[in-house]
Amino acid sequence: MNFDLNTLFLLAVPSFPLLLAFILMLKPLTKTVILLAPWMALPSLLLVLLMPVDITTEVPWLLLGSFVGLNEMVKVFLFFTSILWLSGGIYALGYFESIEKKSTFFIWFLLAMAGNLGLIIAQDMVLFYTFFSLMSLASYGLVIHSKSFEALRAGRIYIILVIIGEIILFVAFTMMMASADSVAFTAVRAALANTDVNNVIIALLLLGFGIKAGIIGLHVWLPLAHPVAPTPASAILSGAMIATGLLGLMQVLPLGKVELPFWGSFMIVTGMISTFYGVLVGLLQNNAKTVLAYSSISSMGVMIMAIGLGLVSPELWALILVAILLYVLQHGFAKAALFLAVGVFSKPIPPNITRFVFILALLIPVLSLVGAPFTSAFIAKKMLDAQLYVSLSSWATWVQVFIPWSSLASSLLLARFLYIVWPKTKKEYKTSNLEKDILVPKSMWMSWLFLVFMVALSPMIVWFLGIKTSSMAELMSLKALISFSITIGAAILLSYIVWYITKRYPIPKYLKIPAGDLLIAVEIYILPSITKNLATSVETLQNSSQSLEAHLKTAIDSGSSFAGCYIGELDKKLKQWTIAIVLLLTIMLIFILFTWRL
Amino acid sequence: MNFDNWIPLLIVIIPLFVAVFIFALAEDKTKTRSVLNIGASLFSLSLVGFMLWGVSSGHHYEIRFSFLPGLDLVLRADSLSMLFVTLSSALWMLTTVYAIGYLEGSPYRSRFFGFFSLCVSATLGVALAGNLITFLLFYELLTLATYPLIVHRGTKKARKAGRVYLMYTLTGGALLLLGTVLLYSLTGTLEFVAGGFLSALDSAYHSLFVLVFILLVMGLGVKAAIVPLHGWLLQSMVAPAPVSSLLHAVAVVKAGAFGIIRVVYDIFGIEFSVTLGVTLPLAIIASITIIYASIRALFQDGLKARLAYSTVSQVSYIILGVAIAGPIAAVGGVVHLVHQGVTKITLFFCAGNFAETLGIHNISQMHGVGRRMPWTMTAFTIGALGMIGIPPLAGFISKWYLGLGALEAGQSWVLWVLAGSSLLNAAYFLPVLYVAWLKKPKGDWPAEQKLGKYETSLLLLVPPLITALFVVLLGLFASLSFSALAWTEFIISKEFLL
Repeated sequence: MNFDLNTLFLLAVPSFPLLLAFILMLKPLTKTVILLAPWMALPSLLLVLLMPVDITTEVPWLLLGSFVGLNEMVKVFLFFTSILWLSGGIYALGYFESIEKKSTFFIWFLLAMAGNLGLIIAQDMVLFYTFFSLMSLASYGLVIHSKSFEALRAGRIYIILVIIGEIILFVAFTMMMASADSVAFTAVRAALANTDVNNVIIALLLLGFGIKAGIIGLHVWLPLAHPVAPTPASAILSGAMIATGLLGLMQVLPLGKVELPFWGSFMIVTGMISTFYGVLVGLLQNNAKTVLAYSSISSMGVMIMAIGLGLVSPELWALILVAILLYVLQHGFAKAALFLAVGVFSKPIPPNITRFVFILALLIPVLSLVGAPFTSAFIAKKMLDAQLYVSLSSWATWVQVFIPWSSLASSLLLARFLYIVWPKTKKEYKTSNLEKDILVPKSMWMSWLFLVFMVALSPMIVWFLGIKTSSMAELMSLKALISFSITIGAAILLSYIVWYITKRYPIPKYLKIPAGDLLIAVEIYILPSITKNLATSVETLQNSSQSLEAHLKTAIDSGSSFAGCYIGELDKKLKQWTIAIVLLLTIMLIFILFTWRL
Repeated sequence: MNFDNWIPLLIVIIPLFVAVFIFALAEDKTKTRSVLNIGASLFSLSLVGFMLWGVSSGHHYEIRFSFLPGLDLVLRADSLSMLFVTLSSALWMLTTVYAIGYLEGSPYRSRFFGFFSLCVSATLGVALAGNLITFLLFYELLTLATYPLIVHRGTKKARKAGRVYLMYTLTGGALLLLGTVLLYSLTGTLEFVAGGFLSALDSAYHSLFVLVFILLVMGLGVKAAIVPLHGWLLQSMVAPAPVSSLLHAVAVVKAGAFGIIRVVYDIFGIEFSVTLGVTLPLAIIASITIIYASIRALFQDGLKARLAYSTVSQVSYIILGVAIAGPIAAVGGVVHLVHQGVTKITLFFCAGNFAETLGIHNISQMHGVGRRMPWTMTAFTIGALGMIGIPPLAGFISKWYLGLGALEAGQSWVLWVLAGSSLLNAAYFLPVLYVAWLKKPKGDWPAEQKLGKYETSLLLLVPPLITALFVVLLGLFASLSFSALAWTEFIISKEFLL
């Protein structure tokens, strides 16, 4: 057992929060321990700043033999993730009033932190999967923290999708292990690049990680769960944890090595649809945090699209990766800052210099998300744009058209957000009966301002972390400025028109889409009938186990003959697969039905 | 003949002697009985440790007595038996501690602990048996020794359960005997040999060998609770918690699964089994058992009944691992013998704690139990997540190897069985966790007792915490050289003659 120093440092990243979580479980309600909690993200921050890149060490004694390491991508993720946990934690210190609530919150918080930071440094599938599960399961505690009806409902849907995602990833990872014969990500990527494309694996990966990243169709838990969690937890869920889905995809897909036109196009299209769908549904929401959750779905769509582009034109991957890293970093900071702002702006803001500073601080992340000049989203989008001229793929033109529209769409959505959270004017403030000078606790607005500061700095941070990007001067042009002004102008104009119209003619009720959109339709129309049918069939089945076995046999027989007559000449293996998948889907349905009423 | 070779015999004999002493001991001599029990289990645990070290460095421990002309009684410590022996003696020790706490103040404890020791002796005999006839002898002894434990409470329900148990297991035993006799008449030997001994024989016998295989596996399948032979297991849930724990984790169910491993590897040989074409049907039966029992588990409100169906399902993982017929899957299956044992015993200990401390028997009574008994519930949570196969817990390691092994052997459908089973496991365990941790208590507990100054008496609390710790450690450090996984890989490398 050799302990080299690098391993020790890397393993310290998840160990610190994990250790403190255990201490807090043994001695809950200890004030000093709780005060320490946010700082457990500090070791990983120091690691990013002090440790050289491109280290991978083997940890043979852990699990089935693990790898941990630090490379460019890991560094960026680790940097913004630990800052989010740190500032979210400090914010949470002021957020909760009762110590009991604070104590339970921080237990889950620390466990999820350990998972999130740990999965970033993990360089093999098993360790990654372990931390991914830890993060996902611990976040359940964050989602349901308030124990309200909405929170429990969101938690239920969240946990169902988490478990399904876990199992899908398990299948995908075992398949990859079988073809790579090693758990290390480097070996897995190489194996996926060298062997024939295994479509099943890629589909499973997209499903498994898509749940976390909120790809359209799999996003239903996200607008329910992110808003109901306590504000600091929502910020981290939407800023950091959502990005782990992308990280997972980038760790295992053979990006930049092989061309996968089908999957690339697929991701581009789903990414585009997610982007606009998120905006469209988000615009109809009344809760600021829900609007932000939909905005995250939309932003993730852009990044999914970028990954798809990497699959279509692998020769451009190196630069696309830089753009994604920039984008994901600024999205993390900006989105978290906006979530924290919701908490800050829930109390009246005195109309003095505070008001001015706070509004400025509210606008910076908004502008950054929209992709205004001098922000890193601007660099990211421009770099992506520049790649497209070189790309040989026919998708390039599509994406080029898409990028400005996506900016317009997200600025509309954020205008909606601003409209909801905008503080009261001087006059309203004076006439309101609210308690006057109570501002949120210092720890809350200070950690928020810190994040805003990070948003403003993010172009430089990326450079500092050693990622070579095109310089701002290079990308700046009159044309860019003009096109940005057009976007903003159009957004303002459109928002104004919409506001004006809806003031006159309120949106009819049937047009309002509840948070969770697609899911609600399933919940209202489809599930009850399935439950009813299943209940009757279960009753019949339960009557005698004899008849159950008979049923099972006929089910399998008819299943195979059904599969048989459709597939006909295709080989037997495929038939096995079909039955297996049909069965699995049935089981999945049973699983959902049983956990539904948790 | 040196002393070393007597160790296997000693290990079997110690609990036997303990049983005899305890039967002779007066009912009220609680202290003497406890000291005797724990002392004996500690002593045999250290013997096992010594032997483990010996076997890993290549020693052979074997003792032989002539039984019938041409048939010897053989006790032998090979790597496979050591896996089972270590598991049994370690869990014997913990269960003894638990049982002392559980039965405190209840009647007929002499009888209980006597048969309990007898049961352990038989299990260790099953583990160390070096040929099929020795195996059969201890296997039947196990049946008989378990019966008084199941009917211990003496209620009508208990007696009925005992009857059902005997009906199933004695029929199973008869099939096993028939298979053994047939095998002996065909081959003239019953020795367990790594890699099997049937492949060398005349191919004219092949159809008869298939018959032997069916007889043996059906006989053993009764105890391993393969669907549709699992009925007795549900009935025998009336037994006291320590008995259920031992029954499910180590003794009876595992004896069946272990027997199937022995038959496939050391009598038929895995390659020959594949040639005979018996492994695929076995894998299919195991898969059906896994899914069917999990579905049944969903509908149980009784906590122990749900756990019992879970056992039926999980034990078939072992059989599935063997039947996939590849070395990696075999590692997954055999290591699950240990992993499932440790995980399931944790769950049963916890169920016992709820019943003994609060009078809770059903899941619908478990509302808010996490607040009343946080430590027990933590252990239960670890066990439940382990069963689902959440990393880094032990269950995940087994599942990972089974999945990989299935792919390696070209049987990818198994992967979907595993995925479905995990989903179902989640569907029947997560609601329990939810109710226990997040719901508010419904009022008073059905029958609360104040036991000790902690949430329950320490004798009841410490064993599940230790086993829960093992569930974590066996998974987290699976690649270390003294883990169950490493030992299993050592076994499998011999069986597959790698």
